[in-house]
Amino acid sequence: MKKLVSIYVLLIPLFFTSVCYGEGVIRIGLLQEPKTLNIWNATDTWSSKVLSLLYPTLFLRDPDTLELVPFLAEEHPKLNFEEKSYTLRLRDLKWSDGTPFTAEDLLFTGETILKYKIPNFYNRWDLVKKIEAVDKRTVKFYLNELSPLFESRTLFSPVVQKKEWEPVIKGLEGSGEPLKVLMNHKVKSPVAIGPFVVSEVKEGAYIFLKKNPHFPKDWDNRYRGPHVNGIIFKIFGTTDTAILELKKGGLDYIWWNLPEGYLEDLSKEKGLKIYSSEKNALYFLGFNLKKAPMNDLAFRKAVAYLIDKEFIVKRLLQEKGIVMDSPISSFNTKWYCTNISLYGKGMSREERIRRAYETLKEAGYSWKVYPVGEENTQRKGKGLMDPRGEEIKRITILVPPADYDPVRAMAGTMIQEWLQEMGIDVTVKPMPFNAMMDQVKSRKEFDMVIMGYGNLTLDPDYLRRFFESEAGGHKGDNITGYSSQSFDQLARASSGCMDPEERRKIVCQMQKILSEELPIIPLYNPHVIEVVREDKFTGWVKTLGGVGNLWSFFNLKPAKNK
Amino acid sequence: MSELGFEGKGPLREAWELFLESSIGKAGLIILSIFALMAIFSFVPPMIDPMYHPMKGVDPEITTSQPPSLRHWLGTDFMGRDILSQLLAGARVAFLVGITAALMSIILGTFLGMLAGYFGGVVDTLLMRTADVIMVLPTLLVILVLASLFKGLSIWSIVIIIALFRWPGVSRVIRAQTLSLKNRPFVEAAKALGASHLRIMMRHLLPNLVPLAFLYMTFRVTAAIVIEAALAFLGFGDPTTVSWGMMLQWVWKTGHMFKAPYWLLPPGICISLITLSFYMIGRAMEQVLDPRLRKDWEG
Repeated sequence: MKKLVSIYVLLIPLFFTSVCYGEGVIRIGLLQEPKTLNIWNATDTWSSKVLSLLYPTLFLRDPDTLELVPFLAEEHPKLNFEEKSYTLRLRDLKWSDGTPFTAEDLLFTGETILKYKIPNFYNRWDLVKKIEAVDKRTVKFYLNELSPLFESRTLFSPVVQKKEWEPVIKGLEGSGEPLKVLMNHKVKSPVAIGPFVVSEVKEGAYIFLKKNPHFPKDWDNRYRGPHVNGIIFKIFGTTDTAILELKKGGLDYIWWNLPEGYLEDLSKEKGLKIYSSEKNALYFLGFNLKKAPMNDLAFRKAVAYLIDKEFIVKRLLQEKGIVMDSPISSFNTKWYCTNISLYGKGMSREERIRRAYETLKEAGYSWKVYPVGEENTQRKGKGLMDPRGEEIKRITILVPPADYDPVRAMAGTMIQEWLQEMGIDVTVKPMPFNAMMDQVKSRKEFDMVIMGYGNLTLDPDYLRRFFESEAGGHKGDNITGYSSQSFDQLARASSGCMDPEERRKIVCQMQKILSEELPIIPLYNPHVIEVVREDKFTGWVKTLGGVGNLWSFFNLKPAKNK
Repeated sequence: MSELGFEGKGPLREAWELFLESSIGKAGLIILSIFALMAIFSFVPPMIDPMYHPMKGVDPEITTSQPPSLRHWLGTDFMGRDILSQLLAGARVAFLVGITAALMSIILGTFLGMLAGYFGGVVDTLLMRTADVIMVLPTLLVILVLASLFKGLSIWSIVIIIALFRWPGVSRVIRAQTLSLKNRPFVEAAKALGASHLRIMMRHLLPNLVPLAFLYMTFRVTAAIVIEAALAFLGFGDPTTVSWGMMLQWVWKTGHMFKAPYWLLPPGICISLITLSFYMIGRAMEQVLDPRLRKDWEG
């Protein structure tokens, strides 16, 4: 059914390509229609992309240094150690309806998130015990405990207008399921604080954003925009149709990652420019540690030896990405540590098989047909048996379908082939993404899974979320069921440590434990590959995650020679 | 005298000679033989060098899609795998899926059609209404829904589903033929001699229905191959199997659709040719079974 809808959605833009919104309007392609314009319910990528231009956060990351830059805030927050509080001064801004942006709006946003535990935002605010408005533009956050996470989480919270949402919140009183009602509230034209505001929405076809007339022009010394008059988001069902439209000149930017196969052809097109940017992602093979043989460290180590990550990056990603040895990317030098255990790095296939074989043999595993003979000759192993002599039942690796993520699907198939060489009976099972998440996260009914987190924070606190024992329950982020007292202690210490040097040491220890105990095998971190029409608009700002960021939309100007 | 009306020579030989008189049948058979050879030889490339393994073999010197060369006669895919090896392996899968699914649907359709025609009454009504319901369902769409429900399909579940959706057409024809046969003197004679229903069906009706069932099998093979290819192309195929549909999906999803004709065309052409060959054989068999059609090529 989803396919049919995609075909229908794919055809619709053809009827609207001639829609004219005047000069200076940039045309951006989205793969799917944004699910909602209700910020509370914007859990899908496409809604988040559109809404990020309407609801910027209190702070942004500098595109070059990745340091915090105040945006809705006027300056960096002042920390009071004794009170365990941060005081934040807000910028003198106006909402798109002309009303001033005040501390009351921020207060209202925080209180709403905390009261209704809004899933998408709650973890950004759960450190906050109390918020109070000091004056019209100053807010004081009282924390339960001082934590470095305040800066990486709460300061990256969007703010909604109290005037717009107060009546909605009042309407929730007496409702049996207030959160559900709030999430399902229909929003047609949100009051925005960002540089753009929704002007027109044509379901299934396009969304038109015009410039917010009340947005200040001089908020940043470098980027004094926005210089474009508006943005039109066109919805495409497939990459092929979007690329055809881009080549035809009907599109200026495709806001999603392109497969490598398109690049050679696109690089020859006049006026187009391809950007390859790093992103903070983690793609990994996760084990269900509650099940045998995945609960055996020797088995996991053997799997780690057999997986050729360099092959995946070189062949499947076509070198548009990096190998990951730790859940933290090596480019995140502030937190990445080199004291970790590596498995099979630089080894040939024969060496990998031998090391995996030795690891399993030492742990007491046996085979019906041994993969390595007496004189180190290698052949296809069969019938791996555990130390008790029982044959290991078929193991399933869950992957999303190739349609959703071809690299992950293909990586699953390659891993299956490598493991089968060792006599491990394993099969890959592609599964629709939502069904896979339900099976892995909610029901924990899986053996192995290839998963990916595409947009992680630079702060390494996600290690705690993914591997802390407490997060191993129903729908918890700890999908593997990993439980280690020493890791838990370090994780808690890390989230409360205000000394960056000391915290780095703790984070290094956490990475070391994870690399030794292998609840997951980190695989790769792909680059974001995007294409833009530079002959129409110039000034794209490349940063972590690609060129689709607020900095670009401030900086873009119509090309002079167009 | 046989029901087919052959005298003197054995009925099979007689049918074979008639089949060979049909140029369309011969052409179909030649094309099909080529594909059969491809399927048989699919085991050879990995024996020459592991890099010719259709799924995991990669050329150590090639990491991107390359056009045909002496080393790779049809070029390589996006990660340096040999396209010819994949094409040969795809022939094996096409035969496996096509013939198995068709055989299953023919067996099911023949037995249910025979039961409906022979017993009539409630059995006939029940079976034929079920057949009507399945017949009007859009097969591909239903399989897509099932693929979503069962969270992915293996090659064998695809085969079974195709078989379950493709029996009603056969059963309708078999039922009609059974209705005509069951009142013939040889069946009446068997009944008069006290033969059981099972014996009448298995010994007297079935042998006369088999040629017709096999004729329909050729058309079912075509349908099964096309459905499997469509499923794989749309991303619902078995990722552990190298099929032609899967090859097309890889071309599409990796963005090589418009830049690697050496990769896109071979599986597409193979799907067309193999379905065409089965169709041609089916047409020729139809002429063998129906003397009225035979006149066309004789005259």
